[in-house]
Amino acid sequence: MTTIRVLVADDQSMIRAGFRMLLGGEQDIEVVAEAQNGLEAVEKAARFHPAVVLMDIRMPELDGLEATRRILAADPGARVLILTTFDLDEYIY
Amino acid sequence: MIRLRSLAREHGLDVLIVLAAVESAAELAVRRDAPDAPTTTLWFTVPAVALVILTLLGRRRVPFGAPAALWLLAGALSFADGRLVPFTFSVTVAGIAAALLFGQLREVEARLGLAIVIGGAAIVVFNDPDHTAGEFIFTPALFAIAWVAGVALRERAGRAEAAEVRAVQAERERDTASRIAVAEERARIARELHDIVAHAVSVMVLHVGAIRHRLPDELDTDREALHEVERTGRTALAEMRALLGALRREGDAVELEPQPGLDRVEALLDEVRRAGLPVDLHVEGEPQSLPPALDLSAYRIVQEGLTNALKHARAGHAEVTVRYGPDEVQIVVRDDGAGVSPGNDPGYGLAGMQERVKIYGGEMSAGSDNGGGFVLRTRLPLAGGRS
Repeated sequence: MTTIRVLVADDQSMIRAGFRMLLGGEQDIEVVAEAQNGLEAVEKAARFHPAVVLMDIRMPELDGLEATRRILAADPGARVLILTTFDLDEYIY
Repeated sequence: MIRLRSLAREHGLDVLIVLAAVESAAELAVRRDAPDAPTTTLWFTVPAVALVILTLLGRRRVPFGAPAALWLLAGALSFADGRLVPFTFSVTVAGIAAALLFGQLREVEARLGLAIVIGGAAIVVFNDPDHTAGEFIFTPALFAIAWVAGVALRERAGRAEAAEVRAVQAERERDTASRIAVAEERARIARELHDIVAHAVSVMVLHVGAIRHRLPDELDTDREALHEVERTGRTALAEMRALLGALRREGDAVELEPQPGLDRVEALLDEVRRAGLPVDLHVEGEPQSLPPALDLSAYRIVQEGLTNALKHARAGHAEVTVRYGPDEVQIVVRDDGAGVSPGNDPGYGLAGMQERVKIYGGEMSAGSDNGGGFVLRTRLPLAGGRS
């Protein structure tokens, strides 16, 4: 059985811990890395090749949108799930 | 006393006018044997002269009619007795006063008044049997000067009035701008607070969801209870989203950065330094983590203080002090700029900060520093809120 490798990028440790707890309960999902900011997310995506990146938009250093662009530029096959507290459409373009 | 003075101010001139009429009557009686005395009887001259002078009493009700009546009467009387009008000192003074009143009227009336004054003066001079040729020039010229003085007075009063109107308007604009600044800051605080609370709720929902997923199947009542907590949280988030939508302004930039706190002050200072203002940071006491909303407001206060220093103060150096106490945090932003002086308003942002500080039950003072420059001091209690 192959597991889905996940990278969680969020500047808040409570959120990262929440996702780790939530996803950790699933048999076929593994959180392979966490990132605290956009730069770290880009770097860890390149290093760990996760199948899915859970990406917060509002992060220090580099915001989630720009980090997503860079991850997709480096690996067009990457899957990035953008998370916001509010699903405002205007974030996504 | 005050009443007397205001009475004197209001009616002082009227009293003088009556006194002038009495003076001219007395002069006519006392000097009736003088060589240049009027030839007609006192029964005619005294009431006639008094009537000429007393026309000025009507100057408020008929601003044009009163001085016009004075000059027309004087001109008419000079036909009856050529010596009567030039004889008494008071009539000359009253004529000057009438010319002055004409000068203060609106343009057309003032010009017509000048014509009446010059014409009247010329007639009076002409009818005076003792007149010299020079008096045809000098007598009307004397009254024309009084008229010019009246014009000047009117213009000065007009300028003073215009200046007052401008001052009142400027004050009203300042007032409005300050109220807008406060309202905008309140909306901003509300947005930030909702943002912070929504974030906290989403963390709660996420964690509850994670725990629910891990609970073993046999605890299904517990799972259902947690599910209910999640649903309530999601509903709260949806409502919060609607509220936040109402608080957002058209054209608000999409926020891509997390809400800042005091831990971001160093980065803020770097920005200020890049903008050309050297600034130092002093942290005193034991730094502690603040509640997010308070942390954010503390950051905004530092930001506002430095913005003022950059924009208004023409400062060469600024200093930020963050002092952590056991139950409060103090923030002092000081610069060595121009301080508060007329024409150097520290900006409406301060009114907004005042609003922010009030929410947390803190205190704020802003003003010129003893050693020059501007200082913004705030104290935020850590207990938070107005309770």
